[in-house]
Amino acid sequence: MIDDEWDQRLSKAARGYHQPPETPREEIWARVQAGRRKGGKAGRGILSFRQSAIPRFQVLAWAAGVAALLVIGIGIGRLTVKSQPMNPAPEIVTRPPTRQTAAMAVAAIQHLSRAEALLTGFRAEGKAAGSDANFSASARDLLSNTRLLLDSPELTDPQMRGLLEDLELVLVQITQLSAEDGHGEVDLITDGLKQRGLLPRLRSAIPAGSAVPSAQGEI
Amino acid sequence: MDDRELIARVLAGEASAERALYDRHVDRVYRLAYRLAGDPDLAMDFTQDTFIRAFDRLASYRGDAAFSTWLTAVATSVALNGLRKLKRFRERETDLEQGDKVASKRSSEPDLKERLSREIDRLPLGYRTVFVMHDVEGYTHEEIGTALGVETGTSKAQLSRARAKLREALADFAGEWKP
Repeated sequence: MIDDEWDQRLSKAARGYHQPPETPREEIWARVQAGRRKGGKAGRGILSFRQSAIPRFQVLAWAAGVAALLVIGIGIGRLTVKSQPMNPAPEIVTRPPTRQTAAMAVAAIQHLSRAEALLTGFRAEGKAAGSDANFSASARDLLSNTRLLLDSPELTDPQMRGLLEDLELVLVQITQLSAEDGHGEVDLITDGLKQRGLLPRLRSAIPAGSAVPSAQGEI
Repeated sequence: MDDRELIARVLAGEASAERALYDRHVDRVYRLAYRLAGDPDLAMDFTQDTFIRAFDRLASYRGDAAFSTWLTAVATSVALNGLRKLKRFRERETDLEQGDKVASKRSSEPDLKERLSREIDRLPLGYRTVFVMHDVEGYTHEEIGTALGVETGTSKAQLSRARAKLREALADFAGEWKP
């Protein structure tokens, strides 16, 4: 068969691909309004929050960065003590971290990105997620980092604290999914996700373009 | 009232104009989001994020292209980023069980439409996006090029490759399509 004929028939047959239902206009509008209200002060929108997300996380990651530096510092210190016993403890411990802090900020953003990906995947899988042990394993992994962030004394932003607390709650629910009654529990979790608007809030907190290629990246 | 006038009113803080602009374009955005995502919740998320981002950046819209084209660029960016994140997650979580699922799906051959849908799903995201926009939703190559930030020729080439892949994948159905 000639390619053009093929293409025409292909194109015609493809019109039924992912046939959209009627647009849930009111529901989406309500979410847009809610998202814009949450996104910034005086209704300035979500971008203003996104733009401020990195500095916010730089503050948030400070304590974690210092902790990481202490570990590195102790390691370097021990090595240094072996080769130069007369030297005092390495000064690196007390220097203000810069690159490391930025690295920790990226790590924090990646944490939220991973959480968003997990929850998006969880919701997309529907009831099948209840019997998938990978979800609970991933949630357990994320849970410990969420707790670390929550425990950070530098976490002063109530909006971010609320987001992390809601995230923690959902992650705990996912880790506790049981194989026997997984389906019912999945419904509860996805309902909770919707009610708290957790996914849109996570997306708002992740700076646009972070760890994400451009729209034409694969083209 | 045209889009430019509505946009001016939105920027002046008129809430009803915001809603009017949304009403005028939401179907097109949702349709595209749904076609790309194939999931009602994801399509809603993408549509929501598109409008939040668009309203927030409305002041940066210079009017070089039609507002619908600009909005489509925002929508495709949101949807593709979201789908890539989902893909990365699923790749991380892929296990042997999933391999079994794929094998079992292949063994029970579906009809042409079902098979076609599956093969479109399997296209690389870039190919799939162009194919869906052009052949399914009827966008022109110029619109696709603007939305994706690529040359018109690139859009045409992507579509050609997508169709070739589909032709190859569906070769066993060729007989059924003969006139």
